[in-house]
Amino acid sequence: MEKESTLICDKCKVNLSLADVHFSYLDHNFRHKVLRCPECGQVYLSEELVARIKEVETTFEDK
Amino acid sequence: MEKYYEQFKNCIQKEVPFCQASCPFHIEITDFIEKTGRNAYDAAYKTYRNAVTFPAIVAALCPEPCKKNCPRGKEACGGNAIELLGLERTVVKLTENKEPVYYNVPKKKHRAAIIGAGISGLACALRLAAKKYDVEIFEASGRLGGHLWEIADGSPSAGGLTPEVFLAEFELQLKQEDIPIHFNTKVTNLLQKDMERFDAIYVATGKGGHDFGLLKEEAPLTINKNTACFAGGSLTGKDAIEALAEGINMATAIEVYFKTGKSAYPEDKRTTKVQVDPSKLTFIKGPALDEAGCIKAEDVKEESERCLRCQCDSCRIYCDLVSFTGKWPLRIKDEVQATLHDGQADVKAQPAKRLINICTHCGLCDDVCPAEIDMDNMFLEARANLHRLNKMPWAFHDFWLRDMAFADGEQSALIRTPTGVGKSEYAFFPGCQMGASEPRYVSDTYRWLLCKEPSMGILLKCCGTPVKWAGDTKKHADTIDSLRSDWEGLGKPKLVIACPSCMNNISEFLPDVEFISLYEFIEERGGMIPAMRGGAEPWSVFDPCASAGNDSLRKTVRDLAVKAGFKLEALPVQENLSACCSYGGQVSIANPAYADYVIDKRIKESNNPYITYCVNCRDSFLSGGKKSIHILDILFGDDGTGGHAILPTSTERRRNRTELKKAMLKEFWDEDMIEKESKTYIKLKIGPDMKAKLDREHILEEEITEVVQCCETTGRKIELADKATFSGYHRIGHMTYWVEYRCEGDGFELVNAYSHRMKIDLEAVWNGKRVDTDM
Repeated sequence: MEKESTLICDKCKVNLSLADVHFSYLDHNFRHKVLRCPECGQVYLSEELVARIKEVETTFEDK
Repeated sequence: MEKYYEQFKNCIQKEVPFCQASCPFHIEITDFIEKTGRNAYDAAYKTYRNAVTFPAIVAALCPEPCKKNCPRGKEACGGNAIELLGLERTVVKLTENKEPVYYNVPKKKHRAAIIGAGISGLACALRLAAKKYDVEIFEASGRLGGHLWEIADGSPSAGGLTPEVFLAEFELQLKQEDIPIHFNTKVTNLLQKDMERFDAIYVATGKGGHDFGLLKEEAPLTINKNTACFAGGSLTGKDAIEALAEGINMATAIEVYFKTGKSAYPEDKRTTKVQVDPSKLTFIKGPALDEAGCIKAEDVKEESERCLRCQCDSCRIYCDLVSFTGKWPLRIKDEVQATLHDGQADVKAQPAKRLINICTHCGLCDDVCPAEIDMDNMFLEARANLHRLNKMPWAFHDFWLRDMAFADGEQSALIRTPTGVGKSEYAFFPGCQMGASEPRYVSDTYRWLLCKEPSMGILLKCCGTPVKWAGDTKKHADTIDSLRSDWEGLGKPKLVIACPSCMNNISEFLPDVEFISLYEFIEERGGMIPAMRGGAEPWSVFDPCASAGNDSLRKTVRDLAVKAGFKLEALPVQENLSACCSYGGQVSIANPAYADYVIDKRIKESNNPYITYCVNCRDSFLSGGKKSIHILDILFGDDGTGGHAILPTSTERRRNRTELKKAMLKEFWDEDMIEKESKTYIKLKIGPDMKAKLDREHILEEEITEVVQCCETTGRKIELADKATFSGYHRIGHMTYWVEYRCEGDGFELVNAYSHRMKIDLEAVWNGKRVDTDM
């Protein structure tokens, strides 16, 4: 995952920080702490994190 | 679905091999032979002992009923049955650790009396004792073994069995159990006082012994209100082996009585419905036996491999889904049934959602199954049910449905009669993938067709198969209606169809539409001078699964290739049975590894390059690195790569469709196509590696450009300061796409892109001005 200090919300010009974000897929949902702009709420998911999200997707598809 | 579930009652996969059916002990032969096949004697011995109880005695005395039923013993196969007894004797001889297993299970409250310490009584007693029932044996004489003493004379007919051997075997196998044996105790009446404490009695008094009136009864007799009395073994005239087997079976019957209160004699089924593939029945010589009837240790593996393992496995051999998942049809049916059963997803298992979506619908299953079980149509109906129940994961088919929508859209679909022709006698139906994959296949063919048939119209759109595979029956019906209306608009022409799958779909859902395959039409109109000529290299025609049963089409394609000088060699399997190339059922998103497995399996069938007549087959094989051409390459000329065409990406496939329509409108109708205005206006540079990655992940370049544009216009982007790039995401349809990009000149350069199906909730909130929503 990218280092926190290098990720800046271009709109609000503030560093991203870890905060809960809700995800949903196929009537299942969960929440997870990911990097998010404390001002506008925009999130950042790295490709590594998305790879893990894809594993969760597979689990939900098989449920 | 019921009619599909019903057919599984005829599945013979669980039918046992002939030898196992005829064996009094029903030894699990496939398990035993698998173990001997790897010289795992100790393990094989355990399998054998679990079945026969006293291996040393059975190995000596067994009259080998299995041999009479072994297909290898049949005349047609050379009369050389598998030496199962030889293998069993060898296992008994070579096993080092014969110590019986002690089962640490709780003691049971029921008690059983065994009258007679012959082989049948001892087997019954040991089985019950191992399950921790209280067992006592009453023996009139002062020794164990009953009539074994009369036959165990050490002679070859007794398998060399001597009293020393069987007594040692009794001692070995009984050592873990504490069974009181009352020698010199003759029971004269089952109602006598000391019998009252037992819940079951097994009378195994041997040949000519006292039967206490039990033999005249059909069912076990109940005395003292709840003591069930069974009789069996040599008392009923059985030989030693049958008596021993009956003792084992009787233990099971007694246990059933203890557990359920129902007393019945055990059933002994000696039949099987198993069938053997006749092609396996070749003569292979069996091994030599030594004096003791054993096989040499070095021959054990070979003899085990000679066994045909007679179980029905046609589906596993031919059906890719069964072989890939390792699931037998009955399990598949159970999983499908559980998945489609009504109920909340959270509280019930839905194990087959993915399984239902990986059938390629090649239709091979009922052709190869002796019971003609049609899993193909079961899966198709299951998909429709999943869709109806709102349980279908949209991701499995979304990409293909969007592709279909594009193919049927203004930028791709072309439905026309030639200029000046009101009604077409014929119309070319190329299918939606041909022009995407190789536009010249469509334009070159149409040019030729128009020369041969001036009224030849064109109906370039999707036949509706993708929505059928997605289980969306309503949308499929709408697609068919729309297709009918297009066909009527052209003057109800006879369709000249290039894609075998389209032919099947139209034949099934538009039965009044007349059609002919493109290839048969070409032959019918006198053929043509092929642009490509074959050489010395042998090729194989790969018949697409949709051509199954269409002998005329299959022959025509071969004729066309042969006329062009191609030397053809038949594919070993595919020549008669048409399996899928992996495209069918659009399975590659539901299970990419399975799609690769199928492609690989088809490719490996022959080293010859393939000639196909389905563009999806050609593309599948090219994607797997196999040299492949379409029959249209032979007729109209290939792209110069000689069977190694570079496949277009998903993005290029869309462009191909648009370019094809544009070029055809210009050439055949002298019209300029009004191109749809693009949603995007920014410049985004995408390098070849990124293009390949986008293609692998089914991401279109237009979508990615739209995301960058969205980031730039809304300002919603993250600066990755260390890398001097920006990252952002945007949801298009169901999918969320992520981009990483940098500014370059007056545009941008794509650094990375990825996507996910998961929705980031409250995106709308964050997309606009921040509101006080507590996450």
